[in-house]
Amino acid sequence: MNAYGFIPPHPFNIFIITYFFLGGLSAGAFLFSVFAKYIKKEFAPLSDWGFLLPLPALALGLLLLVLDLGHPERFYFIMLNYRPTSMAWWGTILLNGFGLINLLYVILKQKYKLLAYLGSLFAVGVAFYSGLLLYQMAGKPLWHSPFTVLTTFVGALLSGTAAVLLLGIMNGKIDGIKDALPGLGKIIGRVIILELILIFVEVISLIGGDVYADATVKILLWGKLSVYFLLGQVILGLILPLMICFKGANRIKEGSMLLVLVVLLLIGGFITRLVLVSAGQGITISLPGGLL
Amino acid sequence: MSNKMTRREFLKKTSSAVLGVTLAGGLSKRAEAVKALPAVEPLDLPGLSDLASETNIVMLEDIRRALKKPLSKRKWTMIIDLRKCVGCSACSLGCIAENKLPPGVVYRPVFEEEKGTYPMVKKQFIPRPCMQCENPPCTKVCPVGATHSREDGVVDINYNQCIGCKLCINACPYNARSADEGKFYTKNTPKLQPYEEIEFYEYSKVWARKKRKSPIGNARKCHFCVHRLSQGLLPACVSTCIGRATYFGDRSDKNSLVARLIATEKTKKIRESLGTKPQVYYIGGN
Repeated sequence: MNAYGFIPPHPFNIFIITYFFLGGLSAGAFLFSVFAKYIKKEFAPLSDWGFLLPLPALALGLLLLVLDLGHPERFYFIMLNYRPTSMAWWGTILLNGFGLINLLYVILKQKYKLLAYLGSLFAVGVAFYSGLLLYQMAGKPLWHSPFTVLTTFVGALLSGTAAVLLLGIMNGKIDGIKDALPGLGKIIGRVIILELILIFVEVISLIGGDVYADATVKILLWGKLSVYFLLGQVILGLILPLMICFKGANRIKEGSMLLVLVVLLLIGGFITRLVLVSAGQGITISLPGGLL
Repeated sequence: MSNKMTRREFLKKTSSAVLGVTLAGGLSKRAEAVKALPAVEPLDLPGLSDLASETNIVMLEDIRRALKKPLSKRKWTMIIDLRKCVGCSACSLGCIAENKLPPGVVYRPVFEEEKGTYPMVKKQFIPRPCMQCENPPCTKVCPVGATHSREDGVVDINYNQCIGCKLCINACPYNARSADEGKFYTKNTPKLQPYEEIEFYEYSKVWARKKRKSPIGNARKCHFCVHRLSQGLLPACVSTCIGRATYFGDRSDKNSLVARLIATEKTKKIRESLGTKPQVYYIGGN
C-alpha cells in the first residue's frame, strides 16, 4: 500500500546488526572458553586467548550502538533510569556486568573459577539478549517467537566458538590440540543440527499465521532476503559446516579445513543476524491487508 | 474666482466623502472586533448557530466540555469513517503543516489499498494516525522512560529525554513512529527555507528543528495535537478533513459525538489481537 510521504521504517541498520552479532559472539566466546577450561579440558589451551576476545568485541559492539543513537551524547541516560519493562535496559545491565566480570577475570589472571561461572551466567544472559530484545516487538511475528530467541542463543554459541577457534588458528594454539579437534567438530555439528531444527520449526510456526506471518515466510523463502536466508544462513552458515564437522571430521585436524569451518560459521552467524533483523522489520503495516 | 463647483470637483469630493465614511465605518467595526475577540467565546459567534449540527462544531463543543474535566477523566478518541474518506491526504498535509514535519516523517499517512478482483474492484483509503494505545508496546521498550501514556490516554514523547535508540519505532505494530533524521525539504537548494526551521508546538512546548537539537535525532509520532486540544481546538487532521470522515472527542462523555458513534455504529480497531487497546476506531472498510 502506498501513502503520501510514508516510508516504511527500517530503524535497525548495519550498526545494530553488527552490535547484535558482536554481543552474541563475545558471550559465546566466553562460554566456550569456560567450557574448554573447566569442563572439556582437552581444549583448555584455547581458553587463555578465548577469555581475551569478549572485551574488544563487546567494546566495538557498544561503540556501534552508541554511534547509532539519534543522540549519542545521551547514552548514559540508560544507566540513570530504572526501566525493568525494557529489555534494552536489562541488556545494559547484562552487557556491563558481563564486561566487568570478564575484565576482572582477565586482570586476576584467569584464576578464579567462581568468577568464570558468574561470568557464564551473565554471558548466557547476553547470548539471549538480542533474541529477547526482539521478542518484545509483538507486532513482528519473526521476532515475537520463542524459537527466534533460542536461535539467537545457539547462533551466539556457534559464532563465539568459531571466533575462539579462529584466534587459536592465528596464534598457533590449535597445534597442541589437533587430536581433540574431530571431537570438537562433532560437538559443533550437534549444535548446528539443533540450530537447523530451531530454524525449521521457526519457519513452520509462521506458516498459516496472519498476513504479517505469511509475508515473513514469503520474504524468507522466495522474497528479497531468500538468497541471504537460504544460501547464506542455511547452506553456507549451517549445512556446509555441518558436512565438514561430520564428513570431514578427520580433515579438521588440517588447519585449512578448520579455517574453512570457522570462517563459514562466522559468516553464517553474521548473515543470521542480518536476516533476522531485516526480515523482522521488513514487514510493515503497508503490506496489503496489513491494516484492516 | 467662482464658488460654483465644477462637475469634476463635485464628483471628486462626493466620492472622497463616501470612501471616507465607508473606511471609517469599516475600521471602527474591525477595531470593535479586535477588542471583542478575547471576550467572545468562539462557539457563541453570531452566524454559527445555524451550523450547530455541523460535526466540527459539535466536536468543538465536546472538546470544550472535556476540557472542564480533570485530565484523568478525559478519554480522547478518534473515529475514522472509511466510507467517507476520499483519500485526498488533506489530513496528512494539514498535519505536516501544523507540526512542521520533515521528509520521512508523516504522522498520519493515508494508505491506499485495492480491494476485490476485476471487474469488481474498489479503492480503500485508510488514514493511520498514532493509535494512542491504552496498552502501548512502544512505552514498555523505551530504556530511558522518554515516552509514556498521559492521564488522558495520549502517548507522548519527552524529546529532551529521548536518546534516539529507535526501539519504540520497531515496537509499534502500526508503524506510527518514525525517526527524525534531520532532513530538510530544501536542504540541497540555494537556501534552507525559513518555514522548515520555524517554531512549532508539540506536547504543549515550543520546538524548532535545529542541527543536533531535539526533536532532530528523536522518535516522532502523532500526538492528537494536544497543543491544539488544550486551546479548545480540534486536531489539525480533523479540521482539514474535507469529507468529515474523522471524528474526535472525549469517549468518557456519553453525550459526545464519538461516544454516540461508538454506541450506534459498528466499529473496529487495527490489530486488536495484539492487546494494544487502540483508541482509534474505524467505521466501514473491509
